Amino acid sequence: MKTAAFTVHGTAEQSIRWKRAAEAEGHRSAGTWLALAADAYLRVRARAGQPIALAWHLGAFTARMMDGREVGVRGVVSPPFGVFCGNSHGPDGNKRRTLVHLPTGRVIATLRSSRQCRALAAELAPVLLRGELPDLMPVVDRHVREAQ
Amino acid sequence: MSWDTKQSYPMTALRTVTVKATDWQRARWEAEGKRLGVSRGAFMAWAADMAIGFREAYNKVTEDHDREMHPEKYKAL
Repeated sequence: MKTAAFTVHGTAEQSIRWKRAAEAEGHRSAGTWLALAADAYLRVRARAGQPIALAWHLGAFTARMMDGREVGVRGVVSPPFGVFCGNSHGPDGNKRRTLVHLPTGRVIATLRSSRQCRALAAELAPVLLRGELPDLMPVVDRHVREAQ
Repeated sequence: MSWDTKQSYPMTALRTVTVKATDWQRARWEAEGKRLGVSRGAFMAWAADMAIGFREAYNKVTEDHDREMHPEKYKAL
């Protein structure tokens, strides 16, 4: 898996605290413990059911259309979600946007704007993290109703 | 000092810790930092301090509860 390194700044007191916590939990470096602490915080937010801020960027992905075709599309991506211009019949030039679950290629919903798709994804992300994929429909239905 | 550093860190934050992360982790930390109005690194520093704070609070509450339930264990101390 591709990884990249960056630095986190802290005061001398913070640095000591982080190293002590890392050692107490058996980490070889404070850096690995910091990554774990940040992920743990996000998991707690997710478990609390709060929407997660997703980072979106341009990208290409595959979506499974209503007729079973797998179509390569371009749009914005924030794993495990992608949004493309079009609907569950295929990409097109109209204004509607479709939210896709990338690991399965499954179309989640077609909404009026990319912003609405992103809001839905932010709300679904905690549900997916909790492994409750079958329970997505009430949330999706609400967003579709609100988008109309 | 970069623009990012000036905005998010106190002046005394002179120590650095190197963190390795996947693109997905970095993107999520960055997005959460934006939500909180700080840089990715500042969010991580905050999350680390929160984790320590929570652990200390948990330890204190656990010990207080244990003292209440089993005072005999602490008589000799």
